[in-house]
Amino acid sequence: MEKPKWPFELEPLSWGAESNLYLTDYLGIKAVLKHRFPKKYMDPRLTRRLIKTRTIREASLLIEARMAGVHVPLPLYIDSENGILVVKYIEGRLLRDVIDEEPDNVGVLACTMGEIVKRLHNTDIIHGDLTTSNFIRSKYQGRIYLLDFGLAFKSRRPEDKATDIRVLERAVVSTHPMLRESIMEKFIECYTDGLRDLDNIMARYRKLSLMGRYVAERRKSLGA
Amino acid sequence: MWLHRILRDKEVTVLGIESTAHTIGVGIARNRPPYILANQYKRYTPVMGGIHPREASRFIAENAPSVISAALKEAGITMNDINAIAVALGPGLGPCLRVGATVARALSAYYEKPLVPVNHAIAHIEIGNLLSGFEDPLVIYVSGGNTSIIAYKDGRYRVFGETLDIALGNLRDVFAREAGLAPPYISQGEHVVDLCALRSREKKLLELPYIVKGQDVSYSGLLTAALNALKQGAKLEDVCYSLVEISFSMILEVAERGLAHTRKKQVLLTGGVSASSILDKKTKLMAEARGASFYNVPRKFAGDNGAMIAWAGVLAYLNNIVMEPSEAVINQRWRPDEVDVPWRNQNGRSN
Ligand SMILES: Nc1ncnc2c1ncn2[C@@H]1O[C@H](COP(=O)(O)OP(=O)(O)OP(=O)(O)O)[C@@H](O)[C@H]1O
Ligand SMILES: Nc1ncnc2c1ncn2[C@@H]1O[C@H](COP(=O)(O)OP(=O)(O)OP(=O)(O)O)[C@@H](O)[C@H]1O
Ligand SMILES: [Mg+2]
Repeated sequence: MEKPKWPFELEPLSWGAESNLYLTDYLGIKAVLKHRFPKKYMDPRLTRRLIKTRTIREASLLIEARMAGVHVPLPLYIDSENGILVVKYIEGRLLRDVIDEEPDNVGVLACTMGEIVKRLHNTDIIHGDLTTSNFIRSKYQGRIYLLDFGLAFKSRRPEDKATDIRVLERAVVSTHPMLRESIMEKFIECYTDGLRDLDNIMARYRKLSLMGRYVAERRKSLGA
Repeated sequence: MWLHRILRDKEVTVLGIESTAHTIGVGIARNRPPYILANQYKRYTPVMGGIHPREASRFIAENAPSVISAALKEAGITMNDINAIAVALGPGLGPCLRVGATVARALSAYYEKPLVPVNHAIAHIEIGNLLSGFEDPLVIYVSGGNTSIIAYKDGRYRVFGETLDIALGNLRDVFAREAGLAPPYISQGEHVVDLCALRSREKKLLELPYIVKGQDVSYSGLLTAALNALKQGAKLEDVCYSLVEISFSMILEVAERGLAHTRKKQVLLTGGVSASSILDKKTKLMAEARGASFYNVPRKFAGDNGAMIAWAGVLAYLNNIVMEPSEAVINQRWRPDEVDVPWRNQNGRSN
């Protein structure tokens, strides 16, 4: 795995799907360097194109989300040609782990996620990759930060907002199958409170929703 | 390994019927080596255009009896040696599913054999597990009607990502047809869109939409844009090349994300589109980069077939999953994550 071109010390933090993350020090600030690397299974031009547009978009939407009052890591440095984005380090724990460790807090955490996504959607930012691994609870103020705007984009279409919620639901189903209902119910309650274009978004969401389907399989004892 | 548990069970032999789309497949499987005793099928290929569900269902009805006899003959057994009849009740095309269900109900009632309901997608996965020996793979299931990334967690196969609109195979088949490359869709074992892409000299990469939303992909915009590019005079080979590169990269990107998130160490590629050697190569590169092992299910067990229904039927039957003929109702949109798969559970086996 190639290392990014970066003059300061790098300490590996995580090996993501899309990028490698390193801890570093930038201007005396503890920071995270996100390095998007080319994919061997893609045409080199395609992978470079994706790296460049995603790096630029991530930086600019982080700033917009911050202006909308959402806690996100502050961008500090960008080199889109080399797929490098440096943001402030948030010390804390991923909600994915917090949820599993503190089942009693699931309602509060789901509600906070709902409020954050409502703020984003009210400024027409679609996150594009809502999962419980992309929320982090800061160690100090216990604030919830939203990470990873690599697939984010701007749109006012209700179907894009509904899809964002569906993406989260899908992630919840696959990472916390047993908590799906308690998380999604509370999330929706807090998400919809004060949401612009609520009716249209929820109508789309219901169409896309996977919840409450009829389970067709029947099990029956063979008998002896 | 999980196969060992199955070998400890009493011996059972199951006949499986597949009729979810264009194929009438009949397979016979047993929980003893060589596991698959028969795999017979007939495939309906429309002379023009896509699948017409009515015509396909008539084809299935007409051919079911001969395919059943051929399967019994291949296995060298008779109906008396069969313990249960398994049938794919979904997902798939209503008229086609109905024929298979009718045939299965009749066999079950007449020969007094229990009926075992099988989910088509799960059957694709389980035969892949059997052939690869994988314990717990991330599954890339790409066919004419399905495009999903699936992994086992907590008693069920969870759909980690999927297409929001058309399937990968459908994208390729419709493009081939509209661009005048097909039918036939397959030539010398390769899809005509892949062959067209390989003919591209310049390998020009057109700006076609690359749409990944979280863990899901969307292909309908890519299809429209590719057809538009053709109309506006782009070279056919370049459009093919761009379509192939972009569509495969999209599904592999979400598969890679699935691997990273589920931390699985095995990748199973299945469904009709897995026969593409371009996709095979790319998937292998993706798995290698993640340190995962890779298995591509061979064509005759990757496309729709009866053996996979029979094998999934063996697993279900050993776990007492049976129904009365009157209960065997088809479900065109039966999702794999609606089905309990107790045979995957290490501890919860019932005997
Ligand atoms: N600013 C930050 N402060 C602390 N940890 C961070 C920060 N940014 C990222 N991380 C950690 O790195 C992980 C991956 O980051 P991110 O989601 O941005 O990368 P990614 O390549 O998109 O990964 P994935 O595809 O898994 O979502 C996060 O889940 C988190 O653990
Ligand atoms: N050799 C090949 N190379 C590439 N693609 C192929 C090849 N053979 C078949 N295909 C594609 O596979 C698809 C058919 O898949 P399959 O046989 O699994 O049937 P299906 O009805 O689409 O499956 P399902 O019911 O599981 O969705 C078609 O899109 C076809 O173009
Ligand atoms: Mg992430």
